[in-house]
Amino acid sequence: MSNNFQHKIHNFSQEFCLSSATAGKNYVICRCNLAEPTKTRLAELGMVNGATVAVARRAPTGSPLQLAVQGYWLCLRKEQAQGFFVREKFE
Amino acid sequence: MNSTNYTIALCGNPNCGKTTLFNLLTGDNQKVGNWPGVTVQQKTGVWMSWSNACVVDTPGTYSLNPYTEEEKVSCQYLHSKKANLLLNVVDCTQLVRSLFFTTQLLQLGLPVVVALNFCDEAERNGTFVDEKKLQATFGCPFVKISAAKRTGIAQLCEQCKIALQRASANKTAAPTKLCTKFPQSESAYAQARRRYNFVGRIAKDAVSQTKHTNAQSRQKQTTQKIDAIVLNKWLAFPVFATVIALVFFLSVGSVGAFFADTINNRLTPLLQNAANVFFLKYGTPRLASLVSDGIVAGVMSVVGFLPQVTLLFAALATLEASGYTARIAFITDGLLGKIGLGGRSAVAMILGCGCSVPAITSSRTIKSTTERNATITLAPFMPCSAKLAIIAFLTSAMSNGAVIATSFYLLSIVVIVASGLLLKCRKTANDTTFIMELPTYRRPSARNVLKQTCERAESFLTKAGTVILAASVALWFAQHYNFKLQWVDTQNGMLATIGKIIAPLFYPLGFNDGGYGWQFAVATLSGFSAKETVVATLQLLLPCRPDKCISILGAYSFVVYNVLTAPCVAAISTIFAEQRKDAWKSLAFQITTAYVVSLTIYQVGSAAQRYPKIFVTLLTCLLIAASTALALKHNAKTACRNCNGCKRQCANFQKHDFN
Repeated sequence: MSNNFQHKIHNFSQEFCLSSATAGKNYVICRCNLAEPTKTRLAELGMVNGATVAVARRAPTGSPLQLAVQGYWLCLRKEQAQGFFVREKFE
Repeated sequence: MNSTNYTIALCGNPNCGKTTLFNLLTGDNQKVGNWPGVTVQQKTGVWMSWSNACVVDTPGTYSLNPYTEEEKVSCQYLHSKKANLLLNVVDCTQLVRSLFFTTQLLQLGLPVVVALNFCDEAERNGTFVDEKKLQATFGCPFVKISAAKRTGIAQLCEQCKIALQRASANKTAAPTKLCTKFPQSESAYAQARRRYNFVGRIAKDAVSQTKHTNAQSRQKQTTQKIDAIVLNKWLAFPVFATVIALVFFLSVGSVGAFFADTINNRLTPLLQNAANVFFLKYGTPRLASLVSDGIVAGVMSVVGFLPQVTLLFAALATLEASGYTARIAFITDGLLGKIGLGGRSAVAMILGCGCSVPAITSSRTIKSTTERNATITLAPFMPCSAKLAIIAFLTSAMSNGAVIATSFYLLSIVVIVASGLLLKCRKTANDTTFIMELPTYRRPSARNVLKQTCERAESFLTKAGTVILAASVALWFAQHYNFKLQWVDTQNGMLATIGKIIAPLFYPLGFNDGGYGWQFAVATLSGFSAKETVVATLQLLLPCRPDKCISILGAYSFVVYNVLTAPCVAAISTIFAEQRKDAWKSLAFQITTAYVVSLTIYQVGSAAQRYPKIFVTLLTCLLIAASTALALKHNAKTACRNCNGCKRQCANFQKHDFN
């Protein structure tokens, strides 16, 4: 319920793939399309809906990505980052 | 171990300092490092200052739903409820994620004591954790400790005792308040969200920032600054190459070589002369021969590499303690993904420079089975410290030995890449993921590095005193006696008889270049016990310096075969423990690869020496063909090169995922 409500408020900002996010900006995770068990594992690592995430940098070859989430750094391959849909976070 | 009344399980996220605490409590010397996945096996020890408590160190896990092999070990142990008390180690600098695991642990129904580790580090960064508030919310004791600085241990011990007493007084000590918050009926995914919301609120309440009002601590800022260079798009690989080159230059090249030369050129002849003089006077000539030509020559030829091996391990331990190892995995993952490996495999390869056994066991942190099997098969191709002895033994006599020695490492990498591609053709992994936490950099503690290095040096010397000693005596005996146990000439001994039977197998590899084919063949076989034995055997059997007994090309092919072939018995048993039935395939693959590569090198090399003009022409043609093929392939790929995860790609991904 609350998720849908938030969805309506922030309708103006578009949802897009985490893999195409700009480095240095803060984003909010909206949903995750990954298959199990990776989906649950990443949720357990703090990649839950509503969490703030930022792309710290990409590896020299473009994948994996270094994310800042829940106060630590997490590395994910591009394939996994493509499963996350985020919205830009306005402070 | 049976005399202990209580079992205390150390559990927590990877890289939160469980093993450091374990070493501190039990006085043990387990390996520690600053990257997630150092511990992959369960270890048990007795709490030193509390003799009826037994401490179990479990591999780090992020959750009670296991994802990788090493997490399964922990989760099985925790679910089995064999422990009387769970000692949850929590990293203060990463409170939210660590407390997420605590909420899961509390629902197991066992008494929990939480140790807030890295408190000193957090406070230096201006983060203060209020353990009273946490205690009130979670309903279990929280103790601030620092495993590295050794503070708060007495309090921790006291709290553990109180918790155990309380648990034995009334069986239902577990806080029920939390259990209702996270109903087990919900899916793990839904639970994770609930838990994070809960923990996030608590952490916000219990943590007060003083010095730095912004979210990033000073330590993280420093890490960011270092990473800006170390993980930079253009600088990452040059820095990586420099670091590795420095490790080998320091340990093998300059400092190590100096000490090794001193041992080989001064100490060994001295000991041999002393043994000769002593036993010729007080024993028989045969005894003198056994001691000076057999034991001293064999064992000392291996001990000579002690300085280099020790320094190599010290350098690798420093690298691991700093947190750079995780960065190596990060920067190499993209490239290794193309050959069916991953970033974690790079860590295994780096560990493999020291010893194949920890390299193979570290593969447990790899999720994908295909990727894991490939890593286990390919990690022993990396020249370990014992193979380094073989390389150094044969190249030290050559004029440009350092360059040739480096070429073996490059060749290993080429072989790993080629075999990776080969294995990938056979079986493509479709379940590959790379999920890894990047730790903040920490200054390596001198005590830990020294401790680990001393342990490695000790095990190296133990090996020299047991395996190599036994092998030297056995070889000396087999060399000088025939099957009727008569003292004969070396050419007619048991070893020569056996060696001459198997030697033709290695003739195509050029082992017989200098007419000492069977000696080299026997040395290769003896490497099965430990790779250092190859050096000891050559020292025993060859009548002259190794570079005079074989051509340069033959020596090169000999080293290549020994570096790439199936590892020593210790590593082979590790492969069997990890792969079970598939282990035979790995070993067969390694032996075949070794044979084919050294055969190619020797045959192509000798052909090139004989017909240099034809060789150069052929090589040029091949290079042109290869570069054309590469360019064509690259052109085909550039169609959507700028599309860096654009919407269309995302949509495709979804379609692919759900159909």
